[in-house]
Amino acid sequence: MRGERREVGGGRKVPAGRRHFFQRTVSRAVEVALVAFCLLPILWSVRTSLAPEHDASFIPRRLTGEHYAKILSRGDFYRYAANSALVTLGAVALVLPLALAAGYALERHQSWGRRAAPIILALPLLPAVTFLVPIARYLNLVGLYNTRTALVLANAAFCLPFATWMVWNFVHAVPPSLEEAAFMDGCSRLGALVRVTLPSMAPGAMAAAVFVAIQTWSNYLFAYALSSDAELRVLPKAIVDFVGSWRTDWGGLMAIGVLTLLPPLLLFHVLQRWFVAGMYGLTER
Amino acid sequence: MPRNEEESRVSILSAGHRGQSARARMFSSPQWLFLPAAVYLALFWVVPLVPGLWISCQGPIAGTQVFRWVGLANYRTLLGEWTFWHNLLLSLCYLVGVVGLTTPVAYLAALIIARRSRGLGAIRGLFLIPWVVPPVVSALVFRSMADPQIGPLAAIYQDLSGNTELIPLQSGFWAMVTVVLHSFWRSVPVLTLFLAAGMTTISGELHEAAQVDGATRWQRFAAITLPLTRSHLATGLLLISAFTLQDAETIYAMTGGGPGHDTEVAAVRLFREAFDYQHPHIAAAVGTFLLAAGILVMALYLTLFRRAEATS
Repeated sequence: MRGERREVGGGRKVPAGRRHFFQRTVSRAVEVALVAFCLLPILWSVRTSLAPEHDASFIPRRLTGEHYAKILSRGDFYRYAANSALVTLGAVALVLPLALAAGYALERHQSWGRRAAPIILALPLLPAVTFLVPIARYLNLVGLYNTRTALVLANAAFCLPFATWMVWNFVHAVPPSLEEAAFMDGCSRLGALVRVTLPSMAPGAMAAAVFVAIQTWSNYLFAYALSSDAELRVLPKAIVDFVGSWRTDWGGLMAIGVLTLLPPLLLFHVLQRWFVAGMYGLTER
Repeated sequence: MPRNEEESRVSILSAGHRGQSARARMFSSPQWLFLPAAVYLALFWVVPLVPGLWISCQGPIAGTQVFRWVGLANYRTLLGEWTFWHNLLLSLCYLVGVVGLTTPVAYLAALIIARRSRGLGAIRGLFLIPWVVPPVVSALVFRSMADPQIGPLAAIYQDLSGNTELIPLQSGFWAMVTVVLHSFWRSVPVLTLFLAAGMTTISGELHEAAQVDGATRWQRFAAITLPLTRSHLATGLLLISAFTLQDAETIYAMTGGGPGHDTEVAAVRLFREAFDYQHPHIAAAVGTFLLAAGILVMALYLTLFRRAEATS
């Protein structure tokens, strides 16, 4: 592979080696710069969460765990974290079956699936903020305003289009003939679905689950619009509320920030492969 | 052996034809599986449009909390007030700032990354980090970086402006810069990956053939890479535009729309009217404008999608 590349690159004779070296150095430098650009704000937040108050030097002279200790000793932090986890799990549990069924239907019914799929994928282009007022109204009407259920419902609805699309990408990979074969072998319709198709859709489901979990965990809009009870705060809302009372206690704010971004980051890190495959679609390869 | 295989294939096919009548027909029409998702999506994406428009045509009777029909009065109020034009102008600045910064940087970065011999690998994971961080958290991180007490961004701004007393988030201009920079940080890596994915699908043979024909690097870029990534570029642009236009939470968390109204883009205006000032009717009217912009972007996107389908 590499030999081939070199040959192509060396189309012009003499400076080939040097040009190649130069090129590679430039690409490496750009890559490093981009990665640094991505990571710097995160590193900054970790630094600030560990630095003593009013230490303005970029690399603090002394590290302290006091900010984390302050947050972890508050009982309400655990309540907010639990709320976030509950809402996230709820949204994933609600979206998955809907997305699996819809993604499957879109793929297997090509004629209208081809027409419906882009529209569904395009739905998130509509601004979610504009829906907040009417949704808050009618969730209030059915008595769901100020409940975790409301947050689950809204988050699930706004993640569903992309989750469906992700699943849809993976159903591509399961040829209908495979299902038909199982069907002919005496499987029931449901049996064929469960035994043959569903396992092959599992990576799609995984990708969709990661997407929904990250989105829901991070969401502030619905938390702010659909609940006002302090008991129901989820972490992103709790942080913004803390800013009001802690002002420029950046150590404390960044500590709770780091604690909030850690779960999605870990989840993403562990399940990255699935997620990326779902995002770009197996069709790209 | 091959004969057996052939036979079994035939038997499956014929069985398929025979079974077509009842079971298989049901098997081949699973639309009903789409129904729950369709109902659910309609409930949150379509149904709210009607009460949204309805609320935007309501207004409180002076001095009371009772709402009545006022027709287009809210729209007239908005269009007649300077603040709203300012909101729209800021939305435009935000959009142009983010898209204008993100696109060229992401495109150049993608050109370089797509050439990697060993694929995107680990880089991809690192690149998606800004997207994984909750927007509210990253907004606060940028807010702390713009704090004149400790923040490196504030130090850079002070150098740039020559004003050592500068408090970035107290200045309309620098607050806007920070807001744009934050969205730039969130969107550049994702757009880079998106464009790079498009570039790696271009067959290497095209480039090799052009090279054999003596095309320079620039000619190859202009004749192969650019035209073949145009639809990716357009899609990426539309996505970023849509998400920038509707973004309220990062600005709200970073500046609250302030100082004054200096970073109050239309989406933040909506948010503040709805939940800080309890003016749902004004919020709904602002929402109609945002929705119109969203529908425009959506229509462009669908046109693009259809054209891509037609050519492929």
